[in-house]
Amino acid sequence: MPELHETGSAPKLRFDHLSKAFVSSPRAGEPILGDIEFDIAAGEFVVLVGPSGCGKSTLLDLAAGLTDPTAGRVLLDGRPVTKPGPERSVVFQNYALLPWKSALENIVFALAAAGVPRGERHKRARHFLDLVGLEHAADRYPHQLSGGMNQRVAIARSLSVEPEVLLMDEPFGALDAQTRETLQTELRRLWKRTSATIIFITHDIDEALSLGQKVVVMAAGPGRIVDVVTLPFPADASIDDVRAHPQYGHLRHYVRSLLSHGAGRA
Amino acid sequence: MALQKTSGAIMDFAVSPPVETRPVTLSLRHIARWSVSAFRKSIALVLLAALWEIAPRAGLVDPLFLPPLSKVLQAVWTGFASGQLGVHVLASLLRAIPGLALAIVVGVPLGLLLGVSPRLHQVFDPVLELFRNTSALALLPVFTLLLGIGESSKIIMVFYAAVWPILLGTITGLRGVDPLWIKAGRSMGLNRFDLFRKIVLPGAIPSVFTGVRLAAAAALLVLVAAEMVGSRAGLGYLINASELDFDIPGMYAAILVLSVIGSLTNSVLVSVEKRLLRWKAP
Ligand SMILES: Nc1ncnc2c1ncn2[C@@H]1O[C@H](COP(=O)(O)OP(=O)(O)O)[C@@H](O)[C@H]1O
Ligand SMILES: [Mg+2]
Repeated sequence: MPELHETGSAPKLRFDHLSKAFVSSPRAGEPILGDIEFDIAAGEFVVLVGPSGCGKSTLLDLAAGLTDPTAGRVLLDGRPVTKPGPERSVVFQNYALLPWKSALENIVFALAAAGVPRGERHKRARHFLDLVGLEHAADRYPHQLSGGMNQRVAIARSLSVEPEVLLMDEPFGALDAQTRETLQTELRRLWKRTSATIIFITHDIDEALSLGQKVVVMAAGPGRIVDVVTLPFPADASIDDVRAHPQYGHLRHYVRSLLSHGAGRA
Repeated sequence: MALQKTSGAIMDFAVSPPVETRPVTLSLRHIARWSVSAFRKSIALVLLAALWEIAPRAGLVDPLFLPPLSKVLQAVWTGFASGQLGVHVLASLLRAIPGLALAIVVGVPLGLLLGVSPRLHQVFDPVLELFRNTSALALLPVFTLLLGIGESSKIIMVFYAAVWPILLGTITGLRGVDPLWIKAGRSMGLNRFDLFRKIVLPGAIPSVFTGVRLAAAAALLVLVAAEMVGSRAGLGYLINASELDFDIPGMYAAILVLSVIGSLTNSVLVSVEKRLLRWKAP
């Protein structure tokens, strides 16, 4: 469901010769990300995979407007990103829920921050808790919920502001294998039912290959894109179907070799 | 809006484990559990009371120097009945409460200032450490010299003793605020003021409150000492004066009242603290 103001093939999000260096880093001034050039179309589900420390989180922070680029720009619908905005929402690896607020209150908090009218917040928060299967846990605090449940609350919180772009930074990295697979399946379903554009970061090759439509493979020193793999799997395939696909093994091998090759050069 | 299609079908996030519902009614089991815990908590107290009653009567200690508990309780009773004890309790409270309040009013904002600015903290930390480690009791004569023996001098002493734990609790609280909460808040578009008001402050409050509780204990300790040294009223004065008058049961009565006030204050503050901390993992 493309927005009306979008014209044909204009990207939802464009990384335009983007570079980032941290003044405070031990290798001060050395770019963490060097000249990133990449477009993401509206409604696309892109997975970024790369070794730890190659600048994946930094790239996501730049897209979120949490940090400024040293050179280049991030363009959202053609306009430069300068600060966070409600049309982009971030899901963090460690949930980033406020521990003194219940599941419901955490979502209400985000809705308030996004400027949703007071009278609407509770109803909407409940709806999105419902969507992730946690309506029964509305009044529980984060410490009373499992990791998987907390991450569902965090996902519900991000979805509740109805963002156009969902930025997910290793959201399933801290979860056990079974919970992770459940959430992967659900995320795919949520994406198919919405028109959200998703950037999903992982360092897990199988997660990269079975979640989205494109895999962006990154390498370190400085952080750069080494290849973009467009996946051949049908959009309505289940994760199991994807993994049973005849090309899966080949692609996995290819991405793996890219990752170890990139690491070798770094 | 991007996600309007989501309304409608409810997704089955399949494996959510069943959650036990919290019991609302007070079951017999709860009453039983409460009684057991109340019993455990009172065993030692009852034993102590019994020992205090029996030891002087049995001649294990000189009843002149340690009268049996019943005599002391009687002194408490007559003290309050005559209005004498009440006057001194009031005098102490009218020093402790303003001193503590002043320490909160000064300590919390100062702690917030030092907590949010690492540079300011670096500058003032050595001085803070020096003062914090200078016992308020050691400074009693200094305060007396500078401020005399009036009410304001007592209140300032209480303030001095109480402000350090509050300052430290506030700084520690701010340090304990997870940068990830702030990052999440920034990603939601909160401005600096709202980040502080809605994330930093609530995150720091439990630790601030722990500081207040420690401050209350420190305040009472210093106040009693100050009242013993130079005062015509207050529980500290009463303890000293009773001893000089050889009104030993009266002395113990004042001590007992002081302990009860301290314990009550602490347990009230602990329960408030627990409420504030109910979101933290046990
Ligand atoms: N705020 C910062 N200041 C200095 N260096 C940073 C900062 N954030 C990240 N870095 C550095 O940038 C590099 C990339 O970090 P990050 O984007 O977190 O990588 P990834 O998410 O791929 O593991 C790392 O070497 C890290 O130390
Ligand atoms: Mg990262």
